[in-house]
Amino acid sequence: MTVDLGLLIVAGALAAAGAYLIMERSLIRMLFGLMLVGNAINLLIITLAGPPGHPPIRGRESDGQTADADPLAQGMVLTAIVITLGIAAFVLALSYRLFVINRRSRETPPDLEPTSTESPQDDDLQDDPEDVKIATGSLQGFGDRDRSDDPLTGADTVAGDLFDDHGNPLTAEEFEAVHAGVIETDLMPEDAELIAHLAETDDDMPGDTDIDDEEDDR
Amino acid sequence: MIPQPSWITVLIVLPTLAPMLGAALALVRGRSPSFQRAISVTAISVALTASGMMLYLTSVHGPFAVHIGGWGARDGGDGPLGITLVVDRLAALMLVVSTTVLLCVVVYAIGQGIRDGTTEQPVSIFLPTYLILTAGVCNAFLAGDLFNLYVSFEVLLAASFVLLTLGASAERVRAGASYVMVSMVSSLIFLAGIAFAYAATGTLNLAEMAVRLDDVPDGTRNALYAVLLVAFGIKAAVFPLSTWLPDSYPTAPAPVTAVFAGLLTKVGVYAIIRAHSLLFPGGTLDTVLMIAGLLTMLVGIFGAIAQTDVKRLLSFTLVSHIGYMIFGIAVGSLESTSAAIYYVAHHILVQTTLFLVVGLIERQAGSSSLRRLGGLIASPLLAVLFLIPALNLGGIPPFSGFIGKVALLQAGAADGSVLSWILVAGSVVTSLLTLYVMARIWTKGFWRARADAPEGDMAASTPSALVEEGTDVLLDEREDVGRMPVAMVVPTAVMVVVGLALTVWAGPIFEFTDSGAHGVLDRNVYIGTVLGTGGGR
Repeated sequence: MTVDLGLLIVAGALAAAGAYLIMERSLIRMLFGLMLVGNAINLLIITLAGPPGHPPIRGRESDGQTADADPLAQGMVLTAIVITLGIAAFVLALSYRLFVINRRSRETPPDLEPTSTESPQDDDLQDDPEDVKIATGSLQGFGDRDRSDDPLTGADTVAGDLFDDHGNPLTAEEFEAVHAGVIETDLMPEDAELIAHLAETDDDMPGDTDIDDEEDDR
Repeated sequence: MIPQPSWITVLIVLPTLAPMLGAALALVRGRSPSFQRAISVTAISVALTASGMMLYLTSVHGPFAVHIGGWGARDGGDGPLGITLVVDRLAALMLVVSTTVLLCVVVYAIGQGIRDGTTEQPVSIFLPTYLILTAGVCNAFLAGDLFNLYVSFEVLLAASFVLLTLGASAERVRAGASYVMVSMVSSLIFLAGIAFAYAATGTLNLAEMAVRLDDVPDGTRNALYAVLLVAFGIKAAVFPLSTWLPDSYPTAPAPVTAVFAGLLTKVGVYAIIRAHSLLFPGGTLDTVLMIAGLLTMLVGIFGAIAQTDVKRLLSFTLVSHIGYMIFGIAVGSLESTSAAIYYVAHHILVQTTLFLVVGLIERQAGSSSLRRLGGLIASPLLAVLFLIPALNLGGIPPFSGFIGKVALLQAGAADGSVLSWILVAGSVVTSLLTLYVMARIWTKGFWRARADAPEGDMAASTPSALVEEGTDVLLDEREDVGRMPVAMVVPTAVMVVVGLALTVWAGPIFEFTDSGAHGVLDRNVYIGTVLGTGGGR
């Protein structure tokens, strides 16, 4: 099987340029990259379908060649062109929308420092949320955390329910108010003595052992 | 060969044709929401009925092939020239499960839409796009040639782009942009693979290509296989090609996420099954597939552990459990392929159900973040609806997840190689960690009092709805906050029940998947059906 080396080199160059553009951050450039790679693959299909010069009509002769041209490859390329065109139209609409959204959010200061040193484009894609989470996350924001954490040690303890979000101890009345109308689970310390004890001493924290003792006394 | 009933030609195009026609009609009557709803449910019901009949026919007669337009053979009898649709047991099972899921979700979406106030402001694009997605998914399962498979991938992808960016809110557009790019890159790689395969074999028909690939040198075959595997691997979200999925799926509305999670990745898995057994038998890249499956399981589930948002967490479990199917495919024995097919059916149902339940949770509590949820046990119905699929996903007996996992582990143990045993261990670890993650949702979201959630008072946000951004109703402005519409609960409950049916009738279903796996692994049946050279048990 003979192949047209010139066309293959063109296809390779197009694919390389397209691959480079797909690595960009800006959506428009990525779209150009997609179209370049798409064209490269279309050229590839045409090239691989056989040497040029075959007659397109069955049973005819063209320049001494009697084999028919392959209609399948041409049909494939036509379909691929149409699909790429439709997707390109959609991506153009999407990038315009992204542009508007980014413009709007540009007026409000961003939460994060831009990660790239280049000046950001208006149709840039977002950072990967997982990366952002790893870069900015803390143990406090972790899904397993709730208000039962001891405000000082961070350990899970029932006494943690007796503190508000800032680690200040609650009085018995405040505790009642916070937990009013809440489905009671068996995690709540029902020991009024302990609540009172915590409310009057700001620094002296009972450990879990104290609580166990209280429960034993009961 | 058993003669095909003449109406199989009508039956086999219905799953693709009915949703397509339905989409056209729904677009024409875009001003009438009630007409759109009726036509959507009707079209998908027709597809489901046709799929069910094909399931029966294939289980009795074996596979069927239809050459569209009668382009069966060239004058030299040189094999099919045009589009071929093939339905065997595997394809029929996938069709039935998919159309069941699609039907439940469309009812759910209609229920949510009415609840979100779309009766006055119809989102006239949602249902037609959804039907196009249905047509693409069904056509992908029926495609008998590579290029038709590519086109159906593109059809369902184009529909999924629109569904993912519904309403064009900021986060959806940002998530959608990267999703579009990744999907298109995978499609281009697939197209390049088609070009190479066509150059090597001179045909696009899967059966004919399978015959001709036997004469292709091994190096060329493996190169083709690798290109196609990368393309399908991106679609199926196999690690390391899976990082796009958790970033793009969770932002969409609940029904959209549910359908994507259930079906789009499984279409990729189905394509991998076909490539692995039909085009490139002999398992030349099985080691690569096994390692990829192991990493998919573990990385996915570790990612899930680190999440606070239930939707993102479920997206990671979705990636993780793709690893089980890849494991089953890669072992390549009859038992493991059968287990993988069963697992695909189980996972489509369970994962979709869980996403629908999260939609209900968002509806109920205004958030899907574990930092804001709490006290959901106040609604026992919701608790039951969540708990059954959650335990099912974690692989607790007697549910179908347990049955599928045990079958996979038995097949892996029977294989007996070191790598298989490592994968068996990895599967068990993944299963336990899945259970841990599900238990966390349960303890944080359902058991814990809402006042104990770190941000419990910040949950009065807008759930991601099917309507445009500007028309969202704030949670605390809703009249019936905390109540779930019947039209959303019923489809979810039906999905839970169908998932349980996989457990109750596990024996017959496993017999069916065994024969399906036999049809997948014994290429001659498939090839004979398509090329008309006997076969067809």
